[in-house]
Formats: sequence, structure tokens, C-alpha cells
Amino acid sequence: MATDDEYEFEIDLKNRKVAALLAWLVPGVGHLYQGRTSKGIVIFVSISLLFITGLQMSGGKAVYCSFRSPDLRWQFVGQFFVGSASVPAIIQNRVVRGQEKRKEVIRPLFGGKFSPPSPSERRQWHEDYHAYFQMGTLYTLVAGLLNLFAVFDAYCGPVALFGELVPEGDESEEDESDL
Amino acid sequence: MINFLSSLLIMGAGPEAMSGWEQLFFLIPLFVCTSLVYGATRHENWRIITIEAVKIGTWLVVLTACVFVVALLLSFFN
Repeated sequence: MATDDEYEFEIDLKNRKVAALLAWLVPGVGHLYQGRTSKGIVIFVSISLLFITGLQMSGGKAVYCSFRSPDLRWQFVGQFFVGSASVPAIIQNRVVRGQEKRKEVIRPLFGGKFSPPSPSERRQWHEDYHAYFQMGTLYTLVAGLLNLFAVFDAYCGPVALFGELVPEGDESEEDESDL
Repeated sequence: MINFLSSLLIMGAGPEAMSGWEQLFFLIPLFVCTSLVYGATRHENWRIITIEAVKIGTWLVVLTACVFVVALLLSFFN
């Protein structure tokens, strides 16, 4: 439990691990679980707005998982932190790469949403969506990184209070006992 | 601008390329959301969060403006 003396209120972080997991799964839900309703709503609306807008402006193609050359999708590392929305991309990656390995016809799930593209498909996406594809990637990447902050906040409490989790008096008492 | 608004209204992006100036409008929701969420993860009091969000937002705008000016100057030598 973290205490903010400046404003005289306490934050009950409840079960931190559950809160962090919920915060990762759906942005803001970890905070709602902790009873930090207004913060949860702001985080949910902000991150969802960025993620959905980014996905929409890129035609739903900005989020996919591929770590095979020449398509090293490093942006997915950030997008992963947006939570459950990134899970279909990982499933698609496993399905498509498995089919490639077995030399089968590529049949991705969910009608091809979130699946890693072939080189020709990727070129076509860039032709079709121009800068919207990059902008959509940026939006979804930033949404993921912001949710990383939110997960940290759900687990540890606000960063400003982080230094106050260890009472200041403890260090001085230890120093005195050493003397 | 129309492309930007249509994208925000989730009407779908048009196939036409957007201009450099239009791309700048896309930074507004990014700045607002980033400032708010960053401020919210640093503090618990809404008054402080708002002040922090404005500070971070201003900092982001200034930093982006600096990068923009540097890129613009470099483009003259291209």
C-alpha cells in the first residue's frame, strides 16, 4: 500500500499481480479493479483511441508479428504491450510460419487479419495506404508503450510515490545503529 | 485535413497520399494521449496530473518543433 502524505489519501493496490495482468489485457481495467476509476477510464479511452485509430487508418494491417528477415517487425515489441489486442497477431504468426514450414498452402485464421504478409502483400499495403500505414504503426506502437507505463502504475503505484514506499526514517535508523 | 478528420472519425483512410502538413495534424491526438497517460502514471491527484500533462505536452511540442526545424533546414541543402 502506497501513501501520499501530500494529499492525505491512500492507494490500495489490492493484488498487484492481478492488477498488472488486467492492465496488460485491457488498458485501464487494472486500475478499475483497484478502484482508481477515473484514472482507469482516462487510460482506457486514451490508449484505445490511439490503438483503434491507428489500426483503422492502416486498414487493420499495422499490427502483425513477424521476426523473419527481410520483414523484421520490431514495432510489434511495443505493440505487444497493448495486451489482448496483440494476441491474435502472435497466434497468426505461429499458424502462418507453421504452414510455411510444412510447405502447405498459407491459410491464416480470422480472414487474414493480423497475419504476417508476404513481401508482395507488404509492398501492396504501402502502395494502398501510403503514409497512413506508417502513421497507423506509430499510433499502435505508442499505444502499446503507454500501456507499459499503465501496467507499471497498476503494479507499483504512481511513479511520484515510488520513492515514498520505503519510509525515510528507516535509513537514518540503520545509520545510527551502525555507529 | 479532410483525410485526417475522416481517419479520426473512423471512416477509413482514403487511398490518396497525405501531404507533409497533414501529417502534422496526426501528432495532436498523439501528444494529448501521451501527455495524459504519462501524467496519470506519475501522480494520483488530478490537479497535479493536469499540470504534469500540460508540461509534458509543451515539452513534446517544443521537441517536435525543434526536430521539424532541423529537418526543414537540412532539406534546403538537399
